[in-house]
Amino acid sequence: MSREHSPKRQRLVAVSWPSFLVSGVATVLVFVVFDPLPLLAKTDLAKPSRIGAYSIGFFWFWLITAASSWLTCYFQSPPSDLNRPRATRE
Amino acid sequence: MTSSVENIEQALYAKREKVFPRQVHGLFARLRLLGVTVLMGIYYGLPWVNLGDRQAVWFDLPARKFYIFGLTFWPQDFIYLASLLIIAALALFFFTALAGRLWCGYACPQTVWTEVFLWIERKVEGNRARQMKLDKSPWNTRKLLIRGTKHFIWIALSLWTGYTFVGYFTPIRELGHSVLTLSTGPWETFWLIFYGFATYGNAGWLREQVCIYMCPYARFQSAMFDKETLIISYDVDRGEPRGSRKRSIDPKSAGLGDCIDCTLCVQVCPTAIDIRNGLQYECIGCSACIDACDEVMDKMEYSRGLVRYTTENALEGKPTKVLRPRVLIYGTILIGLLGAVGYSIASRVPIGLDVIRDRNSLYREAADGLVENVYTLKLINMDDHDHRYRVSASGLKDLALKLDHESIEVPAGQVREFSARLQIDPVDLKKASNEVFFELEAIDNVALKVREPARFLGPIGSR
Repeated sequence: MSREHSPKRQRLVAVSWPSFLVSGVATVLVFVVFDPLPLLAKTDLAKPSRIGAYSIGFFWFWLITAASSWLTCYFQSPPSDLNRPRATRE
Repeated sequence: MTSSVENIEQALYAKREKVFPRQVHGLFARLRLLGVTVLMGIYYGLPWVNLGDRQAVWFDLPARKFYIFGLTFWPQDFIYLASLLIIAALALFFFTALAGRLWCGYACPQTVWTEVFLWIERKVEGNRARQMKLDKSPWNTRKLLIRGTKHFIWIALSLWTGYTFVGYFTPIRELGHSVLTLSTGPWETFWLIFYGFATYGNAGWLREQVCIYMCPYARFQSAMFDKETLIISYDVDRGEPRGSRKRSIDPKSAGLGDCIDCTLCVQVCPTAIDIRNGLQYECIGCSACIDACDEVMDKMEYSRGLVRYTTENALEGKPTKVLRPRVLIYGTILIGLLGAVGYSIASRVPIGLDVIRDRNSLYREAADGLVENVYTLKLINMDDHDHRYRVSASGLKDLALKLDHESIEVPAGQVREFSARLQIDPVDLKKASNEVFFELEAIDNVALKVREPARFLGPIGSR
């Protein structure tokens, strides 16, 4: 097993780890204020147990925060990386 | 320019060398062992403690209640969790300003579990030299067997850790039963494996990389240092020029400092840094190098403390004062907050009363020309015992409270809703909107009492 830290792998960690931390905090803050059961009762969504709702909430937050982290990474790379000048026709 | 950028890139993406920390003995190693034993004892033992007929510490997420010994916390008590986090942050400031990364070196779960995993590794694979030899040796039956044993014990401990973690949220004895009969719920199974996997990965594989790359605190901790902070430092003036020598030689006559360049301080370091290069952000303040160096100094019959806890000012030969205003102010605020939260929890009344006005009508006229307002009262009994409560209303002259029942019984930890009507002769109303109060009192314990404000609406400018 290689222990090499490739840039790709570093980027993966840089996206997933901060979003994991933040979604953990967000889950606590949100579910202290809102009880998921009465909220879900008014929707057509599935009605899991509270633990299920908390867990889904956590992964949902993780998805959103990871998307944000990924966008940050994406915008960090200079535009010229993706917009290479087109080769002139021969 | 380009080459320096390349150098940085290379440093960032450098291949990680596995660190084999050498075992240390000494004062700080004993302190850490004490810390590890106490913290692990609390973590693994606490869920098994029962109080009355329930688990003493139980975070009952499905019911949205936290039991901590005799206290039951509700989502309404979020202020305590918030205060606890503020206290934790302040404590971190205090201890960091005082003596650097005390948290990292002795109490952080990452350190504590890594220490346990290192202990297992040492028991299975032998000391540092044997571990390195095994790592270099080609794969054969013996290596497979030794490595397999190590990972088996690691995974077993990790799963037990995950089981204990879930045991804080599901009563651990019942959980044990469902684990044995393979009937744990989907989320219990998930979190047990997830937490176990995180323990195994963090303490077995990632180790110091968690501190160096993943920990947010490690990134900014040195910003809380000043010249009076006790940090682990190498005494350059005393140690240099370093060099090996015979014990019988007087270092001064040979033109040498006290450092014999044995590199033991580097070998014991869990993050593989050389403390002699000065303060580095990788240093987690574990003091292993102090213990290692003190042992060497004893053997050489030099005085201890070539590597020691000291302040930047002291190293520069300036007067130093560890108990400075910064530390005293942090300490005072910390004690003040702890006292306030302690007092507030001790004097907390375990009743909740929510008053909700009937939204359908502002007011209505009852018989005899009286004005009536209707409310829904939500009564939460946050105590561990059942109670019967009496409700009264005040705030206006001749205000009459009409209830369906004389008193209301609420079992321990339950919520009851009931409707209440307030009536008053409009002659007594001075304004259209008036403040009134609902008072709730437990019949068996007059100390259990709350008062909640509400609005009473009447006809504007009545008579």
